[in-house]
Amino acid sequence: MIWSEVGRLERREYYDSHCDEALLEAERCLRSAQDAIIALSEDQRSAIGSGLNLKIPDNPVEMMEMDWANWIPRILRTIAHFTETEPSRRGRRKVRRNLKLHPLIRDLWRIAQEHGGDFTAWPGGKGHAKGTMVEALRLLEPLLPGGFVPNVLSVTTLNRLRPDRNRAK
Amino acid sequence: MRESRPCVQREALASVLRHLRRERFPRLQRSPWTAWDRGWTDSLHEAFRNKQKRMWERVAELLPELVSLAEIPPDGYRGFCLAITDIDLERGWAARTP
Repeated sequence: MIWSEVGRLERREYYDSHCDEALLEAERCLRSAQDAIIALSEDQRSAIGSGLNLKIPDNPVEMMEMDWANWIPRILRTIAHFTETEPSRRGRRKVRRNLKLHPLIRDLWRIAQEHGGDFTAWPGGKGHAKGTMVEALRLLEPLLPGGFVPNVLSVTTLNRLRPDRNRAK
Repeated sequence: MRESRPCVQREALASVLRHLRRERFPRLQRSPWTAWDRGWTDSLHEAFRNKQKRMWERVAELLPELVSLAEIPPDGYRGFCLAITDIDLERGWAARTP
């Protein structure tokens, strides 16, 4: 149970580290492309398939995979792991990540712990966080682009980004 | 919840910051017109140098505070400060450095 959670967090960390605005833009464009392909007629699709000179396999599963019209949904399904989007529909899941702030918070936790220290974060009422992590972010705020650090920081989010969270002791 | 944080060993931290300044902001140590500077105009050189100086002043002010907040022990000062400046430089956070 613990190890599967650790694995999940490691995968999440891997996905997070590869997700940026460029990937989100690629996802948006692919969704538009998917809609455009759906709008094509069967004749148009098979004509494009012939144009791509695809060898038609006998196996129906392979045939599905070889269908060029399935390539974009497959790429989208893969990208969805990185962007935490529902692959089948538009829009992101409820839990939204701040693509720039969250890696910064994670780095601050990690660096402090790697060098024998730690930050703290606890609920200060109404889900707002208090503690030294909040103080550190407020300290860094003047160096960061405007609006980088939100006025209200959630304690759940801060603690979710702790590298040692849910790790086997 | 902790009310009081352990004191930062100011001498040890100052020494780390001096090293850091030499390592991360070497151009502040050099006199203008070293071989590396050839091709730079006076004003460009001055602007770059001033920007580096302001960045360093910010960093030098910020790091002791962060060390104190994170309760870093003295033997971790150097690694902590280097790691913090690394991620700062990597991501270009200092976008608002005046």
